[in-house]
Amino acid sequence: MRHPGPRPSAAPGVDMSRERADDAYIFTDLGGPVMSEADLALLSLPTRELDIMLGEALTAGEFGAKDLSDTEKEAVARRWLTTELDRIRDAICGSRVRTIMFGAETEKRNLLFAAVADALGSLRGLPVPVSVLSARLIQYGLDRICGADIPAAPDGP
Amino acid sequence: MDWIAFVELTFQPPLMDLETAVAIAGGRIADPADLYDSISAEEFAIVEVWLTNIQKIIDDLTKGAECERISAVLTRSPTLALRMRPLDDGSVVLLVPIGVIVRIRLLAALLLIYPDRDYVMRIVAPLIDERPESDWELPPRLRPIFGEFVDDDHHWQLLGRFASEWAPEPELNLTLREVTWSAMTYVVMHEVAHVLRGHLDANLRKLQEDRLGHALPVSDHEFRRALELDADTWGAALFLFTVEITFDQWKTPDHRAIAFHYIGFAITLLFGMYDTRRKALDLYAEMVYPHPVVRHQLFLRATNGHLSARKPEWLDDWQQHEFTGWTRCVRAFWRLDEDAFIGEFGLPSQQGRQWVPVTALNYSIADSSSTDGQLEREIALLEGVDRLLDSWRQAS
Repeated sequence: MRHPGPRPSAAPGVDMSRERADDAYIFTDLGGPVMSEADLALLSLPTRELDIMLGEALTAGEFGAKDLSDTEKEAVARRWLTTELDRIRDAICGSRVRTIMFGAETEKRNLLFAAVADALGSLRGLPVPVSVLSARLIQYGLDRICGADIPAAPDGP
Repeated sequence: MDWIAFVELTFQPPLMDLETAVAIAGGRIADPADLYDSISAEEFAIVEVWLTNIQKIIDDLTKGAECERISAVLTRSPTLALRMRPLDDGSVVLLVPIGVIVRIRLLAALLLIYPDRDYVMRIVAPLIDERPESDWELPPRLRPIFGEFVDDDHHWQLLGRFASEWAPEPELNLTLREVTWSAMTYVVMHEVAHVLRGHLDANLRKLQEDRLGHALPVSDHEFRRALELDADTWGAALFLFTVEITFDQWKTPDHRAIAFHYIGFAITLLFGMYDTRRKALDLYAEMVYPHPVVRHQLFLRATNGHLSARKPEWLDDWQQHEFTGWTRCVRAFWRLDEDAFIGEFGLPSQQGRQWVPVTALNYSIADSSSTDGQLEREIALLEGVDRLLDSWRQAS
């Protein structure tokens, strides 16, 4: 089990693995309960772990003649992020995330996390858990994604 | 909260369009020169012809069947893992990494140069011994073949260097094409079997049953493992069927002897190459795929069954010459291990580390009862899940 807590939600604000308890969620000004503690724990995971989780989600419906290694799942995640970068950028860089991002102090990281997840939630057909993707993007640096200098793969997100 | 959207999300695997699926699998090959000379332009052209021909066979196999359309696409990934996934338009894409083809070819070239003779020294450990992964290490110069990759370009550079260092003799080219054809056609037919046997629907049905809280007689990993066993079994039969319809000349005993020998060699090489990490039989108990030794036994069971039913006049030739191919490959793997052990492929990166055999295909008399027992358990699992799938099919 890679994730330290319950399974990350498939949609922002949803954790199906336990009873909902209001005090287990961070409330923001974005309209109600947004991220569970388990989701917030994603922020402290190493980038590699997040990439493996993304890769697992992206290959979940596949069949193969051998197991995919963690390294291969990482590669799948990196390629997908590169492919989807424009769509992700459109979703998060023009939204209120930007306001929070550039005014963010450290204690607002959780709020930023919720805002990114909220913005990504507007993207249709995302084949990965939004919370995991949000954590991954924040770790990479929203300023790098929304700024002018976007590095290309493999150094990209 | 949009619960319906959430249910849809959890019910369905991530469906994407063809181009996204190809992109995340490594992208299309824009130029074979981009592969750092790990494969020549001539051999690459032969791979493309193979893919075109295999696509025609897949189209024929799926034409009358009530199943999804399958498109085979060659990708630039250096990975060993060939994958198959459903797409958002209802079709299925078979993602064939050129990496697995290059690795099979290079490994075959390496193994075929070992003389086909027995020797006294063997570096093996019983399959029932568990070994922590921290104890093992791949010899550095064999990593391009057996190892994982950090990034695509870096691994292509390693494969290119390996290809220049261990360049096969030109007279081996025809044999290498036969071996590569056999291994790749088998592994493609494994994936085709998933589609023809309705495993995509079975996966969705399993998720539905889970969501409805219906207890199934098998665990998640057993269910998935049974689907893989089923694909191995039917893939083996489809493979022999493909052999039969592709090569008219194999109808003569002499041609069959050579063909079956190299098929035996190729399938053994494939299973031997596929898992370099877990050597112990027990480490496969909870995984999606059985141990390579057991997989090879299942392959023989399936092919013997197929030929008994369809081509009984080929059965003796098959059993005799597949065996010589298997023997040759296993002995060559042993020789490779011996060379790795004496440092032919580099030294361990850290003191105290040791080589373990490059392949999990280690046979010994002491293990035979364990592997036979495991084979029986796999067959029981396969039959149990088969009955479950039949009941689902009848109900729908």
